[in-house]
Amino acid sequence: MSLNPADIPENVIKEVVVWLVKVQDDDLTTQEQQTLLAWRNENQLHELAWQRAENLGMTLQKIPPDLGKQVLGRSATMDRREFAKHLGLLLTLVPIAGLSYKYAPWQAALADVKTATGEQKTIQLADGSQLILNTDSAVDIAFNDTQRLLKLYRGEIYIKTAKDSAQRPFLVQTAQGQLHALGTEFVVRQYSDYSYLGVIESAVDVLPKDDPKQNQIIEKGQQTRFDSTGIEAPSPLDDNANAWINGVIYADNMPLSEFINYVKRYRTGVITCDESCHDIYVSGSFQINDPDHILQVLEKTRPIEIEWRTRFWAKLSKKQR
Amino acid sequence: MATSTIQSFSQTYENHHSWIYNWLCKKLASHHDAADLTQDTFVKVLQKDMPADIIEPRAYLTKIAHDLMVNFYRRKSLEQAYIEAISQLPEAITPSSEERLLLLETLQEIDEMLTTLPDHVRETFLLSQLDGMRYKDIAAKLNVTERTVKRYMALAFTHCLTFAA
Repeated sequence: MSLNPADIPENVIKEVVVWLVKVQDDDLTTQEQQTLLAWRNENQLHELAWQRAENLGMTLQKIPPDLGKQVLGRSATMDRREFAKHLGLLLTLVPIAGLSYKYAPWQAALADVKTATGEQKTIQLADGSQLILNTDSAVDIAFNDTQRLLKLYRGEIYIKTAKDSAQRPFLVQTAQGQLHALGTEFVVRQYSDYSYLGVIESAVDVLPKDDPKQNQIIEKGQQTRFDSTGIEAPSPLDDNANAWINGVIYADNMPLSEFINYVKRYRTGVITCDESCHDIYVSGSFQINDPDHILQVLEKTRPIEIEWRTRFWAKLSKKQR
Repeated sequence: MATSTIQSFSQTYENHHSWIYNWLCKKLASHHDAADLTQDTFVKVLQKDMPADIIEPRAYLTKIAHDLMVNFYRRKSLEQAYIEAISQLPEAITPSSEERLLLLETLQEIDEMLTTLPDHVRETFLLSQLDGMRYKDIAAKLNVTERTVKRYMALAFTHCLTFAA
């Protein structure tokens, strides 16, 4: 997987840049999101260019904003000979109060609230409702006189609604539809081409975007997936549906590859699990705040070995006997 | 590499090594740094395949040595600014030494990438990417139109995506 910039033709770079500027400037409409996705799928080079952009975004996100500005904001075009005299003194960028909390990854445009990979955030909403963002998530909070609306762009959220004195409905919008909370506690996750809903308390009404009349009420203890045209038959709520709120992943004889898919979400970098692992299962409850520790535990307790290609890239395979 | 290239390289090295070293010594405070950068200059010459028929080898080599020196100062000034910034952090959130090193490496990577961008383009890029400011707010702050901000952002993105690390 080499990302050699020279491999990406100029016209593809031009196209991806147009997207990046657009995504950053404004929230994409669903139509635009689909066009973007189609563009990425259309050609390997498109996807490569997009991933390169995402990598750049990830690198930039590692930098704490204030520190980054102070260090990177040193003037570049000052007289080179004067460099030694000016060390660290020229800070061209003045911090702006109240804005530094915002990062700008392009995937979810500029949402109101977001979390980085491995981060979780709890927010008390104006009406007293509780919102928790799981790892790598982005949400806009759009409350007005007539409704309490959350727009989920990326990742996963937990909501516990409070009674509203103005009796405004509580809505969550995903790329595939809208959820009407009926005084409840629930989890919503945005996947690339569908949405997931898990209801913990009371019930939630699901309205697929293109066919809202097909709405269905999902009851406590049930979960479902839906896209813009329809809703899957509900199934019992998964153990892990809301375990993340307590910072835990549960595994009960879970195939290793499936378990790794859970772990991946909380860790920056790559974890691969090759074919040889197909008959390895994992049981236990694991703390998600330290994914590298989970990998160490797995290596000690399961018949696997981990090859570290870089600090971020772990390759799991079955131990050779 | 062809034999002739090796010969011409060792010739170049012999003819020019000492004056480059002396030139760098005058510019830099430390003889040690000057020796390092002299070495780097010739590594660059090898990488670049200096044209054999170059008329002004001194000018050519001075240019390489000069660029390396600018880069060297740039890294130094970054380190300095970084140490200052870190020392201002409250003790509780001071990163560990390993984290510090990783962060410094990341900053150097980004710094090197952004260094050739015009100041206003770079400032726009940092306001957007580090502060998460919206284009219209950046436009207001820098007193330019939103279209200009978009143009700067497109420039910066294009530069970053084509920058060979």
